[in-house]
Amino acid sequence: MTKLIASTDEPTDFSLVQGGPFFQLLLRAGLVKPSMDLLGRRIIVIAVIAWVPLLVLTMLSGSAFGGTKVPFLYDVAAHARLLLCVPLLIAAEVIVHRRIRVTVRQFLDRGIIAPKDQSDFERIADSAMRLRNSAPAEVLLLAFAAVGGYWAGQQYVSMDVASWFAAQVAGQSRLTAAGYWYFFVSMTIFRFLLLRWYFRLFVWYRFLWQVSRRIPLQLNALHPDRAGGMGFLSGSTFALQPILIAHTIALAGVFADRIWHEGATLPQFKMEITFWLIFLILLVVLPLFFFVIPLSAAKRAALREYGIVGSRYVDEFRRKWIDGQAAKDEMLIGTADIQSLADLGNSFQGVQEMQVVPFGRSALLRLVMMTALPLVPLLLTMVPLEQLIDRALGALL
Amino acid sequence: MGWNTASVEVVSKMQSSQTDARRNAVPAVDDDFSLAVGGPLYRMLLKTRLAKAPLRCLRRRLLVIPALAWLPLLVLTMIEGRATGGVAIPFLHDIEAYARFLIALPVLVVAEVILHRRMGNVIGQFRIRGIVSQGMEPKFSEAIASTLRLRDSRMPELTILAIVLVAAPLAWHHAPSLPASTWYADVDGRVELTGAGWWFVLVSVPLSQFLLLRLYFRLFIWGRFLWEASRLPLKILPAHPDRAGGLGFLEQSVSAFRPLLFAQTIIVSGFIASRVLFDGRNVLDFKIDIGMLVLVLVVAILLPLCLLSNRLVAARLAALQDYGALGASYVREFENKWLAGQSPSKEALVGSADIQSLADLAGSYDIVNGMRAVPFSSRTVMEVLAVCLLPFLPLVFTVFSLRELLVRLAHVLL
Repeated sequence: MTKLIASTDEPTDFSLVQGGPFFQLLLRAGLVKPSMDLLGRRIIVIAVIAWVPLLVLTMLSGSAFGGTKVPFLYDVAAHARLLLCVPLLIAAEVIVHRRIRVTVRQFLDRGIIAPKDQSDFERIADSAMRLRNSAPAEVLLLAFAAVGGYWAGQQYVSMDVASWFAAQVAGQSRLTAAGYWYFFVSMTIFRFLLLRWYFRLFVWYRFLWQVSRRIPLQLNALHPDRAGGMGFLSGSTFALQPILIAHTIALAGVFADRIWHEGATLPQFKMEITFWLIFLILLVVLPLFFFVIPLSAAKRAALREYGIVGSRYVDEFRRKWIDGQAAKDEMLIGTADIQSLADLGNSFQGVQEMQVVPFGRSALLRLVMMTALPLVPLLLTMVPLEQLIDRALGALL
Repeated sequence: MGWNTASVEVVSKMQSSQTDARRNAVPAVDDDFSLAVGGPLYRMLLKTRLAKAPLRCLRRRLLVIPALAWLPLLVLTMIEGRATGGVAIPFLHDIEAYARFLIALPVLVVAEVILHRRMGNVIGQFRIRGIVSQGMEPKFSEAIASTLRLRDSRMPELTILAIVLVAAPLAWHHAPSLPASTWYADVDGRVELTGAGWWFVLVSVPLSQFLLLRLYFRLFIWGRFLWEASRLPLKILPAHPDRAGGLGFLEQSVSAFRPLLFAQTIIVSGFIASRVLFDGRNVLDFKIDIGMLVLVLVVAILLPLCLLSNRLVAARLAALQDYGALGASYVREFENKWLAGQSPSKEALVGSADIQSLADLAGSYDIVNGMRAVPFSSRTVMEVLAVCLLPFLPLVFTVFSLRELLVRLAHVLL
C-alpha cells in the first residue's frame, strides 16, 4: 500500500479506484497492474467464480434448461447481473480511473485553484485518497454485501415459486445448492462491487464538497464554457456513466423476468423506471450542485462589474456619436467604437448565460438517454420484432 | 489563468475608479441600504444578542427561533401523552408542524440575511451606473430616506404583531382545520385547546406568521421605493448590454426575495400534506389553490420591478430613433464610400473595418430593439416559478407509496 501512495504522491494523480484492500489483493493475484491493465483477465476470473458454478450446479440438478418453472438459463435477471453488470462494474474502474484524474487536474490547469491554495487542494486530495484506501470501510462493505445475501435469500425463499435456486420440498421452499452459491457468492460479489462504487462516489462527493467549501475558487464568469470555467466537471458525469448503465441493466433484467415468467407488461413499470432514472442521474449530478454558491457569487459579481462597464461605455458612446460630441476629424465610418459596442454586448450576454450548475440541458439529455439505453430491448416485449421489421419495411417500400 | 486575472483586475480597477469618481461627486446618503435590518424586531434581536449589527450571529438565531417555536410543543405534548400517539394526529406525526417550524421558520431566518446581502449594493448601482444623475440626487436621497424611515418605524410591525396575535388564534380556535382530535386540540362538539395547543396558537404560529408578514412588508417597502424612483427622470441607457437599459441589476432583488416565497410555499405544502394524509383528501383537489398561490407569489415578487416599465418603454422608443438615425448616417457614408465609388483608390475593400462595423452596428441596433419592457428576463421568471413549485414536489409521494417503490427497487440490487 505504501508503495502505491508513493506513486500517487504527485498532486494531480487522483484516482478513485486505485486503492483499498481488494485492489491490493488483485494486485498480488496478478489480476491488475498499477496502470489498471489486464481488464479482460479480471472480468473472466470474476465471471467464472460468479457464474460458471451456477451453470454446473444447475446442470447436475437438471434445472439448467427445464424441470422447474424458472430454469437457470432462462433467468434473465441472473445473467444480466452476473454476465453484464459485474463485468461493466469492473470495466468502469478503468474508465473512471482515467477520466476522473483528468477532471481533477483541470482544477489546477485552468487556474481555478490559485497557486497559494494549491497545498490546501493537495491536502484535500490526499485525504480523499486515504479514505479510498481505508481497509475498515471495505471490510464493512463486504459484511453488508454478505448480510444482504442472507436477507435476500430469505425473501426469495418465501416466494412460492419453484425456480432453479429454490425448490419446493414437502410444501416448503428451500434454497438449492445453486441457490446457496447464487445468494452467498455470486450476488455477494455483485453487491460488493456495487457498494464499493457507492463508497467511491461518497469519496468523490466529499472531495468536491471540501473543494467547494474550503478553497476560494478563482472563477471567471466570462469563461467560454458558460460555467465560469467549471464546465469540465460535467465530464465527470460521463466518466461515471458506466456505473449508471450497470444499474439499468440489472433493472432491465428483473423486468425481463417479470414480463417473461410472470406475464407483466412493460408499462406497469413506468413508475419504477422514472424513479430509477431520477435516482441514477442525481447520483452523478448531485455533487455539481456543491458549486452553486461560488458560481452564483461569481456570476453576480460579474453582472455587477460588467454592468457598470457597460453603463459607462454606452453612456460615452451615446455622448460621442449620438449627441454629436465626436471630434470633427473623427469619422463614424470605420470607427472601432461600434465594434466594441457589439463585442461588449456579446461579452455581457456571455455572463448572463453563465450556468450556476456546471451541467447543461444537452448533457442531461445525453446522460438520460445513455442511462435508459439498456431498457430499450424491453420495448420488443411490447411490439414483436417481426412486426417491427415489417412496419419498417412497409414504410420503406 | 493569466488573462483571467488580468481582465478581472482591469474590470475591478475600472469599477473602483468609477466608484470613486461617483462617490466624490455625489455624497452618498446610505451606502448600506438594507431592507432586512431596522425595525423593532431587529432592535430587539440586537438587545437580546441574537444578532450583532448587521444581522451577524445567524447560527444563534437559527437555533433559538425554531427552538422557541418547536421544542415547547414537543415537551408539552410529551407531558400530555400526545407526542407519538393517543390522538388521531400525534405531534411527531404532524407533517405540517415540521414544515412550518423546522423548515419554513429557519428559511425565514436565513431569508433576512440573504435579503440584507443581496439588496445592499442594489441602491448604490443607481448612482454608480449613472442612472441617477446629479440633478436628481436630492430627490433620490429623499426617496431612500423615506424608505428607511418606513422600515424603521414602529407602527407597521406593531400592526403585524397585533394581527398575528389576535386574528390567528381566533382563526385556529374557531375553525379547527381538522375534524379529528389532534395534539393541539380536542374536538368534542367544540374545540378545546390543549396546553401545547395554547403555546401553538399564542407563540409558535404567531412567531412564524410574524416573520413571514414582516418580509412581505419589506417587499412592499421595496415596491414603494421603486415607485418613487420611477417618478424621477431616470437616465436609462437603452444600448446597455443587459437588455434592460442598465436596470438589469434590479433582477437581484428577485433572488433576494426568493426565500420568502420558498418559506411561504413550504408552509402551504405542509398544510396540504396533512390534509391529504390525515383527512383523506386528494392532492389534486388542491391543484387550483396551488396554481393561484404560485401565480400570486410570482406576481407579487415581479410586480415592483414592472413599475419601471413606462420609463423603459419610453427610453426604448426614443433610442430607436436615435440609433436609427445613427444607423442611417453610417449606411449613407458607407454607400457613398464603397458603393458610389468615392473611396480612395489605395484603400482595399477586402479586410476593411468598415464592413465589420456595419455588421456590428446592426448588432447594437438589435440590442436597443430587443430591450425588454421589464427589468427581468424570462429565465428569472422560470427560476421563481421553480422555487415556488419545488416545495409541492414531495406531495407526489402521497399519490403512491414511496416505501413500496423503494422495496421493489432494492430487490434489483439485492
